[in-house]
Amino acid sequence: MTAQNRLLARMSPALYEKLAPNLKLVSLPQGKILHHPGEVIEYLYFPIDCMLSITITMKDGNTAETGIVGNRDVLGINAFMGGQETTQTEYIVQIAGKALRIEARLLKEEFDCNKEMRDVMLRYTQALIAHISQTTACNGLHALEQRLARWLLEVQDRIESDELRLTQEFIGDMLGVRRAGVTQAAQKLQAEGLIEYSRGKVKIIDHQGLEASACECFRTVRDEFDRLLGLGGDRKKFL
Amino acid sequence: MNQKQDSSPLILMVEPDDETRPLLKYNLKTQGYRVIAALDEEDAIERMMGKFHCPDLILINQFGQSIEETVDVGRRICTISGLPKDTPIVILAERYGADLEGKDVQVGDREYVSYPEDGQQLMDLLQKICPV
Repeated sequence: MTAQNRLLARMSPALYEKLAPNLKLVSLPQGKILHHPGEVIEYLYFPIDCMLSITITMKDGNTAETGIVGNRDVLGINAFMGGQETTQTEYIVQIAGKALRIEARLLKEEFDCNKEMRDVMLRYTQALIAHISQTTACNGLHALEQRLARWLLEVQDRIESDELRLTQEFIGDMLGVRRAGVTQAAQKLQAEGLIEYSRGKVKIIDHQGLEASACECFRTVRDEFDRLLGLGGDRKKFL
Repeated sequence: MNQKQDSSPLILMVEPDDETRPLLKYNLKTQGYRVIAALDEEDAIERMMGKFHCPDLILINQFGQSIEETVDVGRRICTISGLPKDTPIVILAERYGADLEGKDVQVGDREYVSYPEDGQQLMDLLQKICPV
């Protein structure tokens, strides 16, 4: 099986071959909830062309995304930590597609006995913490249109498509802002010729311009992923 | 981008959200409108009282109130500020389902509710009611 998830591609052939028999290719439909708060994590997912979100829903029903997971990531890192459940986060499929799924028990066994496995997973965890930290600061400091541009670039980078099926309500939930704010921010980016947005579809038409319009956070996080996991130079090799 | 002209239509925009307000104002100005931005009903009335501003249209973003209540906000701004009774009022709906998305609904003689599926829909409605 060809590794199309960039984190799996980061592993040595020997480690990947060891995992491969336990990796099951699954199709994930949009909206499917993969994990509810409080549940023990049974599977980890290595996305290939889907996008998964880690979200938190407050008592008043408002939801915000706290993590974005695509083909440079793995979903379910709590499985190899001390507490194997999450108390407040939910995992949901935001863009349908395929992923490689592995039983948490099997990955934990390998994590406990294989130094390379621990190294890859802990480096990924460090990159994820960097991402969450940067996003927290970004949400507090940067303008909405910069954050929208940053988020669209992050999604594009994880599903490797310029056409994203995303409603404004969904984007509002993910950014933790009002729908009207997303509508107006997208209108501004469209007027600047960076994206096309219509009927729940976003098309990035000027990637460089969108990066220039975004805050520094997209580039900072991507550089940190590349530094920790060496995904930058090999990016094309595994596509 | 159209340049702002003194003769271009004037929109009184009521937008309580600090993140949305500058974006909506920017987008309206890009379309060629002049804009007075207000935070809420009280602020809007204050900005209209004793001034020579006479907006060609009032645009209100629904925020924590029903559509009916938001329409009433527009009517009170007109009445208390002494604006012409035929000043169009457009409500930008906040929460709505897929059944309404993409629709613009006229709810009175001069009152409209827009349920935008994208930003261009609102601009098209404004252009229809209040052309630049």
